Amino acid sequence: MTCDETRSELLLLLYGELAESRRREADEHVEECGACRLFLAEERRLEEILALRPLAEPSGDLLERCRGELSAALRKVRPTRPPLRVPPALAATLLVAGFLAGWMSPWRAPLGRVPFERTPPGRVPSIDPASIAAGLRSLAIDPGTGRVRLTYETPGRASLEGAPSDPEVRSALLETVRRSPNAGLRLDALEALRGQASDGQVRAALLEVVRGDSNPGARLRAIDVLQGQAGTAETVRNAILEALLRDRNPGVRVRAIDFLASARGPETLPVLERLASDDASGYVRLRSAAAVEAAYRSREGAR
Amino acid sequence: MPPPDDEALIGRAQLGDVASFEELVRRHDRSVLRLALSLLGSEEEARDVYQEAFLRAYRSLAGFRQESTFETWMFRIVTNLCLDRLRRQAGRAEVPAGTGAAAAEAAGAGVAGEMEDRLARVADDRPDHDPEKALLQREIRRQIEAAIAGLSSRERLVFELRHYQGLRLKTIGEILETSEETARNCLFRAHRQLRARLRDFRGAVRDAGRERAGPLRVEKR
Repeated sequence: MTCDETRSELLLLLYGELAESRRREADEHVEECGACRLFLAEERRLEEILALRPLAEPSGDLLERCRGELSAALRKVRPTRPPLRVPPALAATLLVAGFLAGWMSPWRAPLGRVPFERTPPGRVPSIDPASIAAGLRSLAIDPGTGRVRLTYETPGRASLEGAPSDPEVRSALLETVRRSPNAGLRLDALEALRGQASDGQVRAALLEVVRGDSNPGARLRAIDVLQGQAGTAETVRNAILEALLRDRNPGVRVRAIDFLASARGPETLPVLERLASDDASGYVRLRSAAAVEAAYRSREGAR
Repeated sequence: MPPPDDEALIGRAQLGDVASFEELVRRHDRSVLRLALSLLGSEEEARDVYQEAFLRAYRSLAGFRQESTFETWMFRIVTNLCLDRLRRQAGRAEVPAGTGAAAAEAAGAGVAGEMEDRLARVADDRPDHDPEKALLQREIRRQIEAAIAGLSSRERLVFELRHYQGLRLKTIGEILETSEETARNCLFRAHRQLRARLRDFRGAVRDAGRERAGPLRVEKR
């Protein structure tokens, strides 16, 4: 171990961040090196000097004043809302309208794989989806076209572009949803798959996320993406019902309630009634009760 | 029933529940305020940063993906706000040509001056008040503040977060959106400069006496 390396490690030692094995090496070096012994002594003296600076501990008064001011300000701020949810019928209409508008547009891009602006058209390397997911660095969705660009590391940097319905792009997105350790990329991939949930493979991947993703944001997003046509399938409703009963995150459970209330499966009402009286979260109880009430009103209206 | 964890509170707050957000604030605001106070040295500025940081978090909560803890996320917001202010302060200070202790002292004069006022009051209130010792302590503290203020904004942040707030270098890397290695190098540079600037006070420490246990905190998390 060199003197420079040792000094850097001695600093970590003083802060309690040096691993035991490295510590022994550093000790041995200091034992034999006068210059590093001097360095350690100087660091200890510096510590003594710095200890004379009092810690800036906020007083109780200051903290209360800050809380009071913040509380007043929060009431004036528009609260955060989850992303706007569009009713399935309207979403389908918008999708068709968007598709037709795009089809009739004079600037319509040619069919097939179309790159983003400023990217020269050309070949897309053929690479297996698992490698793309493993090396994925960023995922961009073109807001105008819904097309996706996945930038990933192979030995160099490469990118794959195309519509999410493109089999190669879709496979890469599914691999990312299932295997990427980066929750942000998983969320982006889920977003890119919005509108693809009627596909069996996509639906299966989304259900896996709902059941087992460690990130509540991803579970929430997967429920959102499943909403719509896919929500009518019994397997989907059962998975969401399972999430409603087992998920630890109240936000996810509330989103599951909304999903099931709009899907109106026969198995939903008894579960919601139970949650309305028994759930640990007051907010979940409230939302369940509201969904139950809406369901009864809707039944009465139908008679 | 056990209190809800941060994750649950964030979930509710993301659905627009202000009370859940306020509970998150109560859990983490002391450390947020302590950091702002420590970096800026002014209660007024720390109050402003406190409010601005939590309002910013509230407004962007819908996009918070919980890839880091709420506290780390808050520290990231606060350090960015403090960095902006420190840079503005440094820009306002009339730094004489050249570098070294004099320039560093001038650059940190505003922060050090305000901290100095606060420290002076702390020293005077002590029951065993010894004017000579108090004077020496004040001088040493003034030099410590000037030396810390003379670090670059980034070095200062890393030093404050590690030395006085007790955060691990890995967490500091997350807060500053850089690697643990970079945070470690930054801390090393900060120490090298502080050692050089405070070299003259090595002997004076014993005379001044230590007021409290050193804040060189071993791991908080």
